[in-house]
Amino acid sequence: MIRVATDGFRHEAIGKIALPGSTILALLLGIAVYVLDRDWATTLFLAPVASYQPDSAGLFGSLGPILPSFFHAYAFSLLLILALGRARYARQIGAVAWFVVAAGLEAVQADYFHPLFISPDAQSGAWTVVSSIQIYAVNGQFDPADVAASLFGCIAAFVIASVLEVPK
Amino acid sequence: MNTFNLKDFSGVAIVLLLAIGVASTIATGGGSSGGSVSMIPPPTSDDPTLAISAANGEDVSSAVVLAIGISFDLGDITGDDLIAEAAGDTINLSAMKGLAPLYFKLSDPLAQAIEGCANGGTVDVTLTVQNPNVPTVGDRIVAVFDNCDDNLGYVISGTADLTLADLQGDVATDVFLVSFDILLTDIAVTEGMETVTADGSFTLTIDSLDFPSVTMSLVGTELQFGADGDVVTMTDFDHTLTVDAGVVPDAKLAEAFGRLDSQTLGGTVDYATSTAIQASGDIDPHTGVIVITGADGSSVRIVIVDSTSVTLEIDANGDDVIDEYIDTSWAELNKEAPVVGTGLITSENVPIIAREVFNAVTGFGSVTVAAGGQFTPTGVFGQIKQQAMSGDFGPFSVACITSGGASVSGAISAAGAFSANDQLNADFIGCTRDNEGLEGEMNVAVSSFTETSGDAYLVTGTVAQDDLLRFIDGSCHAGTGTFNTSYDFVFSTTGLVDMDSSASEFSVWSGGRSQTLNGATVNAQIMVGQQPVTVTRTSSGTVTSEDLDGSFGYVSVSPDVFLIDGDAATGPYSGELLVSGRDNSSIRMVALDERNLRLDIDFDGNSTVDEQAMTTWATLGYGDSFGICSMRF
Repeated sequence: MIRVATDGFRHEAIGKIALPGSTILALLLGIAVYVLDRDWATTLFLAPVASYQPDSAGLFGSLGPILPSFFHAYAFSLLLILALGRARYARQIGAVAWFVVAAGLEAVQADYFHPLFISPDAQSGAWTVVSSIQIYAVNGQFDPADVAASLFGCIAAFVIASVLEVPK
Repeated sequence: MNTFNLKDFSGVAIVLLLAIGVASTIATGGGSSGGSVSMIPPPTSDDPTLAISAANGEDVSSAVVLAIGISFDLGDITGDDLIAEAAGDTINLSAMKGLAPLYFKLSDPLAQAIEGCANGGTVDVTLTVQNPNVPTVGDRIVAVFDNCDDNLGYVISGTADLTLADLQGDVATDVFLVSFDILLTDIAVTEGMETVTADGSFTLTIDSLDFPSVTMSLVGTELQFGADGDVVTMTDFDHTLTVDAGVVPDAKLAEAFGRLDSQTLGGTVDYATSTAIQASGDIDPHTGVIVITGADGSSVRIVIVDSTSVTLEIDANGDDVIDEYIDTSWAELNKEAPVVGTGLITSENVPIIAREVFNAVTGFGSVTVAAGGQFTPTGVFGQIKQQAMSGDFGPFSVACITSGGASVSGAISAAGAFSANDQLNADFIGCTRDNEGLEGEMNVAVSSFTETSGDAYLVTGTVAQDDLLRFIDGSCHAGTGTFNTSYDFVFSTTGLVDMDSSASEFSVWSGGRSQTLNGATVNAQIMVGQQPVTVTRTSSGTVTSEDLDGSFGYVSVSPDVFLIDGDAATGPYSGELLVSGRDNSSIRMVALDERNLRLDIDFDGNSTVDEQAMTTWATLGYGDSFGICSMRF
């Protein structure tokens, strides 16, 4: 059977390429913010090469602080949407689910939750998954701007997925 | 044929995505770029653990200030007087003070000796040197103290182990750099009722390559002190103190970095001087900032306002916003017992209090400086030394350089020198030297004596005076009592005397009235190489007299600076003395010029000036009102 191309089919084809591509691009841009704007010594994945950090260019200006949250939320919302594939309400579930995760992770950095994460493990100096979460929660600072950036990232993922018609 | 179907794996993919998403969030710190968002699992054991708050900010500040002070005292004890003693020719086993100088007087490549200390106890010293004629890096001196009391104001036990780590220049001159690696084990220094213990190691460097500027630095990984029931440990510390003796009073610059762990406070804090601390003479620092950082970025900044006042700026939550300001004082941070009196300051007795305190301070400084001056070549003890006497001697009549004389007797252990336990007695009769007149008895028990070329010398000892009359600068004072003194006669470009005296109780007479001083201290730096002689004096203590109802404390807020110009109507042209009475009432005696001063009076102790009064030094001073000194000299 010869299948005739339709606009919907073209959108679906573009979506299959463009959506994963945009997640990769978003993740790369997020990494770029850390590499170009942040102190490597205080960033876990860059710390081993912190001594090689050149002078910061401040390339992303005032958006630098929030762009990683935006790109990260966008990328993981979209990946979730793609993983949910043809599930009903995949776009809505993917975007909302990641926003809940992102907002939760930001919230645990609030002073209010610090007592929950302070334990002898956090002071032992030994690296464990638990200690990493503790350090993340206690050393980090809750920032409403991050929550907002995550929200916009999730909304952007929802909109892009809708426009490019994620296959249902 | 099996085909890849994403749907089959969507559940796993979702879980994986969530896990990766969470992990990447943690790895990057959650996006924020705030300064405290360090996501490195930093060696959290390296972070300070004590949370600083308004409640403990003053105690934390006090602990840091005291620890830094103790460390400099320790460096001072082991290395002080290096310059004065380095070129001496006698071995003086005077407790830890002079341990480093002692090294440079070695005569045997390997020697061991147990010496008795002047006032009880022993010190067992073992010297290991490679070449007795050339100080060599690696040379070692180990001193084991057993309740050693050398009349230096403290008793010491424990072991000090010094190894020469660096040497530049010539220690026989004023220009050199010397560095010792020092290991202290079970050191206990008892001064009065207080005992400070010390264990640990550090490198002490004394750098006088830019003499008369001398820098002392203490660098170490761990040093533990015990004092006042607390055990304080300093780690990774670097403390530097530079003293510029080329100006009077000497200018001090201090910087300190390190970590402090206090048992009493229950945690660790990091400290660093963000602005170098500056002080003059023996007065508390007048400028500088120390930043102390605790857990979670909490901090207290010690901002030095002046030599009396300090402001603590406390940021309890680490948001770089000051949550509370605490105004305090050096006396509080140093945990000094306040020098206050029992008498109440009222509008009626202010002139009498000011007069009595002024005469007590002036008199104590005047009569206690006389003893050290007798060790110059023209002084009566200096003349005895030049006669190379030894053993019991005298009494001999010794002429004073201008007129009169003294009957001098005593016991000297080594001819041509003075040393610990020598006893020197002088009964002055109309003795005048230049513009100084002396009459009465003075008995000196020598604790230590060292001299270098150019007639520079340092003498320490205990002096007993019985109604010793001293006439100088138009003022006539007599002193009765016993005091400890240190008289450092340093010759550099101009002559400088640095004198410290202290007495638990001492009586001063002047103008037909007598004052009794308790816990009195005086430091005088005297520029003798120019005319008129300039004196910079700091004092503290309490005073009582028949004219006073109760006692009154006094302490120099800034040094009195005055000229020996022979005019009794003149006094300090700068300086400030705080006189304290009951209920925190106080009088600040502020010198305006050589003839005038202002009295700032706080009757109710609320730290505000209730009344100001102007007066003159001529009004306060007794001078030689009875003409007794004029008749004698």
